[in-house]
Amino acid sequence: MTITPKQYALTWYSLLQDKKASKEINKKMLTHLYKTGRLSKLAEILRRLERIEESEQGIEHATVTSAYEMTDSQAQKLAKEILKTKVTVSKEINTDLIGGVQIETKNKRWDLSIKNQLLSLSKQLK
Amino acid sequence: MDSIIKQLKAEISGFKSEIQEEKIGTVISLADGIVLATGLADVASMEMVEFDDGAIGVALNLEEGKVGIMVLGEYRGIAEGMKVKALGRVLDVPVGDELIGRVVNPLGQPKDGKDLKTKQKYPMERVAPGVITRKSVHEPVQTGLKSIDAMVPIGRGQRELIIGDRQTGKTAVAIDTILNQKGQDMTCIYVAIGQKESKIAQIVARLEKAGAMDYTIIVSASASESAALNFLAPYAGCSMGEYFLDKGQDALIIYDDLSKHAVAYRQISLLLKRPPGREAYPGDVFYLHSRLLERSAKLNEDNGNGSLTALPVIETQGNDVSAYIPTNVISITDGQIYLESNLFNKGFRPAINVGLSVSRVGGAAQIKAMKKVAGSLRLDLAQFRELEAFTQFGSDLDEETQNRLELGKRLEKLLIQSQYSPLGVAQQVIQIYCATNGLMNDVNVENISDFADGLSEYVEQNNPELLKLIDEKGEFDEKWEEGLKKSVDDYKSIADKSWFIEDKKNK
Repeated sequence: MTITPKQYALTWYSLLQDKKASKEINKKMLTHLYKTGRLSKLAEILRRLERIEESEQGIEHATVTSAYEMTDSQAQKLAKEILKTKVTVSKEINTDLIGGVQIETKNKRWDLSIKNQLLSLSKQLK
Repeated sequence: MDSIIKQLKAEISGFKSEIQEEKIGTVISLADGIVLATGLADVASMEMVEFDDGAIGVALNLEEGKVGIMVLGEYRGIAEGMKVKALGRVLDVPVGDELIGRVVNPLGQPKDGKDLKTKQKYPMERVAPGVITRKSVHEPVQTGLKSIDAMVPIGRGQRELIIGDRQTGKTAVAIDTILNQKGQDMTCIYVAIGQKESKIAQIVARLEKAGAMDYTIIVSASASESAALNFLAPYAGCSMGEYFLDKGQDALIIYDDLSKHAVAYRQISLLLKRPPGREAYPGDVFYLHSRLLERSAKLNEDNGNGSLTALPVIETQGNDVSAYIPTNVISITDGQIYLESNLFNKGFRPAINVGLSVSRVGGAAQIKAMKKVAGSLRLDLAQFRELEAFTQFGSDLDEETQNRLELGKRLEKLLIQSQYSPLGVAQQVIQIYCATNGLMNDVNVENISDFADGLSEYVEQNNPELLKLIDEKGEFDEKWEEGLKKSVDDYKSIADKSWFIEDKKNK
């Protein structure tokens, strides 16, 4: 029987509930994947693992990209304001945006950058 | 200058940017124009997506946690990890009268370097008109080719397959048909799928020369373009045709050719990891063509009376019509025009095999005059073929058999027609009438074409009412027959004497 990446992820996640043994579990899991030749599926398994964690804990992860450096609290506040749920935030800097910010989650994006506004203006003027 | 700036200011001040929630996904793999992306929750099948580098794609495979996207056009700018955004609308294509005379790609973007502005868009995939809205085929499409109009007639709203090996004149039949639509209230759409750019350029030049671009749209997805565009081309062309159908007009669409379309779809399907079936085509390759060809229809009066006639082209390999794609399309269409390479090499052009070609519904669309003369033509030719096979063994033949053979030879010669010279239906009726009624029996077999061409010209100049009657009423009577016989006699007296058989000439 072939085990799907989803089944791997569910098993892995349930094992990880035992927080003390997490290091040991991860090691064993990876060794198992290596030995059974399924290491190529790791990326998919990790993606699913992430998704399971997010849905279980009700926390969304957001990436806040800005043209200039922001403080952690600024980014956190901004993401929370828009997503209206619990969020964990990571920051990125992309000078291509010219100004403003972009907030991204897995499935959604809010583009508040100058670059995007200029692009939509150019589309309107066409 | 001042007013331009004012206008610009007004336009810019009218611009409001709202914070919009975009549905996005992330590219996880890219191979040969097929992208796999995660995310993109709630994306619909055939929905358009836009990559961050500006490339456009279509969501084809919706799987758990993954979406298979077909990239339209250039995909070199796409990288792993790039974001892709759903555009919230299914794939559509610009339609309208503005497209007439233009060469466009399957997305409706001009390929001739000129600007194109259209008002309307149609979705690329549409459901075919239902039973209630349709009417049976009853008006003819005149192809201008004697052998087709007489023996394999095509009606408005019909789907007639043109099938044959490479180099048998399939495209020539299609192009001649377009050329003959001048002044017949027909908009033509030529869809080139996987053709050489040089061939497309040649066709455009030829159509332009004949003034046929005034009523023709060319949708071109050449061999150098991606499989995605090759796959979409017929659907795009069909949508453009449906615009005229919905307006109550008549349109003719040529898909040249659907074998390459199936090959492009096979490539996409295999890259999307859909299971391969016979000849590695996916399981839905029949539906691929049936849903396209079902969109050709003749609508009834309540629905505008429009029609969309389709002439799909299929290229066979080594005259094998029992391969997968040819059998599929033969069973979908309302008949086929079968072109053969040995006939082509013998000089019979168009190289139509009259025995194997059929039109299942076109008979109802033929004008009465043509029906009268074509009935005996088919019979005479069939008898000739049968006798010809027997006579190869012996030489002692009774007079009747000899007469039949002579007639058959003349009929065969009469059906030969050079490329780009379509003939009006009235002229065709006259030529076939004369041949089947023995009025050409005293003409040498080799001079039949010269005689027929000369006769056509003579009648046009000296007795145009003969043509007028057929064009207006579609029928002929005894008086017409007498008039024609007289014209033929008159023409014979002035025609080149070397065209006639010796002994008859002396009589």
